Amino acid sequence: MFTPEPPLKFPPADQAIADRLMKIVPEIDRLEGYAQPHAMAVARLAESLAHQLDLRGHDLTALLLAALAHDLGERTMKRNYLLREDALSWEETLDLWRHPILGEQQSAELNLPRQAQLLIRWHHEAWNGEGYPDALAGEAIPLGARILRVADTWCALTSDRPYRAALDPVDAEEMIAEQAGVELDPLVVQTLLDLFATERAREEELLVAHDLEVDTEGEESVYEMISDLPAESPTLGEVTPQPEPVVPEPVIPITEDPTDEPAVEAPDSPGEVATEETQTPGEAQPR
Amino acid sequence: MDPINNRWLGFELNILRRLKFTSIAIPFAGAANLDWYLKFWGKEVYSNDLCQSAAAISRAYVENAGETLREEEIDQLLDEIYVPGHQLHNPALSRYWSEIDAVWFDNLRERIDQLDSPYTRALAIAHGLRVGEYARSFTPRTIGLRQPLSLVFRRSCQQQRRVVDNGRRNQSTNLEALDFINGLRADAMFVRFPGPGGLAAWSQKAAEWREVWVQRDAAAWERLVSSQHGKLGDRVLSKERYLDLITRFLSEAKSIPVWAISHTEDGFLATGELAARIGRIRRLETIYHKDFSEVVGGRNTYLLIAR
Repeated sequence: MFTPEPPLKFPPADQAIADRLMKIVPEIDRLEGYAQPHAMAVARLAESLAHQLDLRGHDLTALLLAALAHDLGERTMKRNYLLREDALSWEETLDLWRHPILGEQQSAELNLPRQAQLLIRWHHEAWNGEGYPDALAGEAIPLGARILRVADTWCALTSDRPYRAALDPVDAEEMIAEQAGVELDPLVVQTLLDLFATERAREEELLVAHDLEVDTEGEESVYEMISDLPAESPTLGEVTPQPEPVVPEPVIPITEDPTDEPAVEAPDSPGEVATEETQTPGEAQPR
Repeated sequence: MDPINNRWLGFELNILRRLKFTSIAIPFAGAANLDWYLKFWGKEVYSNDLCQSAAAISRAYVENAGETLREEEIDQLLDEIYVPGHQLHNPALSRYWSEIDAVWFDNLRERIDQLDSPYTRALAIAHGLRVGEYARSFTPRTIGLRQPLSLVFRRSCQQQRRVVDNGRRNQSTNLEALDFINGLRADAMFVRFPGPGGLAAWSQKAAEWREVWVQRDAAAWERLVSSQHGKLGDRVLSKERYLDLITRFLSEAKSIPVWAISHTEDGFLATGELAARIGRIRRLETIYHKDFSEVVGGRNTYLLIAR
């Protein structure tokens, strides 16, 4: 049932950035303890959700770049606790909560579009306002970030993690549904569940059309399409002809958020590091 | 004062942690997220909000030094909670909720007052407010995802943010901002002023039902709005009027050595205009800036430090 997906498509102007990201992404996945490509799976699922929710053009490109780079900040932090089997302490949790801001800064260094930088910053915001770093709530969180949050959550739940085995897709669906209206946007969750339901129905129709017996036990679906990505051979970097001419975005130098500050070091007092951002002249610019 | 969004928390915390202070006054606490972090960092936090719902959250997480809701208390709150009484104690809940949900919220609010401690009562209110926002999240398309409210309440209790004891005498109050700030002794003050639309601008959002539920009073919200005439929180029509109200407030806060004033540009008041007005009262030391304007809903955000 597994159908290889075509490579993610980027406008020519963003292809070079995507290529650079693809060289970094496997390292981030490894640092987080993912055996299979995580960021690519998140990007693919985010793309599917974005299509359903009518995100197009630059909005879609920014989302895909953000999906690939969403945990860039963890690469800077290089924390060993990410690979531990037991639960994180509260201090470690707060320390980890800095990674979206570090990711925003790192993605600025990589010249990702500003929109993508902000999606990275907000990929852990929660629908109920209990997320981080800005505690945005509901529709104050940009749709791209809400999609990214759902895609990231789904891919994490259905992957083996250092602290637990991958969840069965049925259990993962149940868990995702429980988080609708809590951490996750109900609309995006519903879209995800509809997507899976449609995919299952399509595959069953396909089997019936080919006069095959439908075996739901062994069925491979969109779940596998996400999780069966080859470990070290992402296809993103391939240059794909664009179906339509894409108007290049104007190149706006990111002067508001340069990131020439050193990365934040390990905490010396646990509470103090909780949401520390490295000072960036654009972010905290004395006038 | 914004009951839901504390934008832009990460940016504001980033600046605040560079300032040296031991105690801080926060007159418009809203969801009290910033207050909670500052408490966690060891600061003595004086958190205030005019809304009782916001003050309850602050009491639960800022003033509270470690009490949590016990399992038996949660059971007591939720036991047969869908069983309706002769009539709703607070019939105004029917404005916001279906009949069944109104019974749930009505019973919960009544039972919360039977808890012994003001902190567990505040925690239960905070969880009730979260459940309310949860229930408001669904549309006809997504309503199938909605879980039973008691289950959501129980999960909210299990997943609550940590209640810490930082060894300080943190306080949460429910006063007019001017009354709160007048004569208060603190090293610093963090302010995010209510917008020019005032409290009335929040009526259609989350604020109204929260106050009506927490105060168990159908007229709670209207009374709160009308109490703001001539104060920050009132609806203003001109920039000059808004700046006058800010000036009046800041003049009352002169005894606090450091002010950190958060301002998000929305096309009404430019940061330069606010800075000029603050500068009339005391020296403006630094303006920090973060640009969130690349996305819909994002804005240029500033934090002005005056001392």
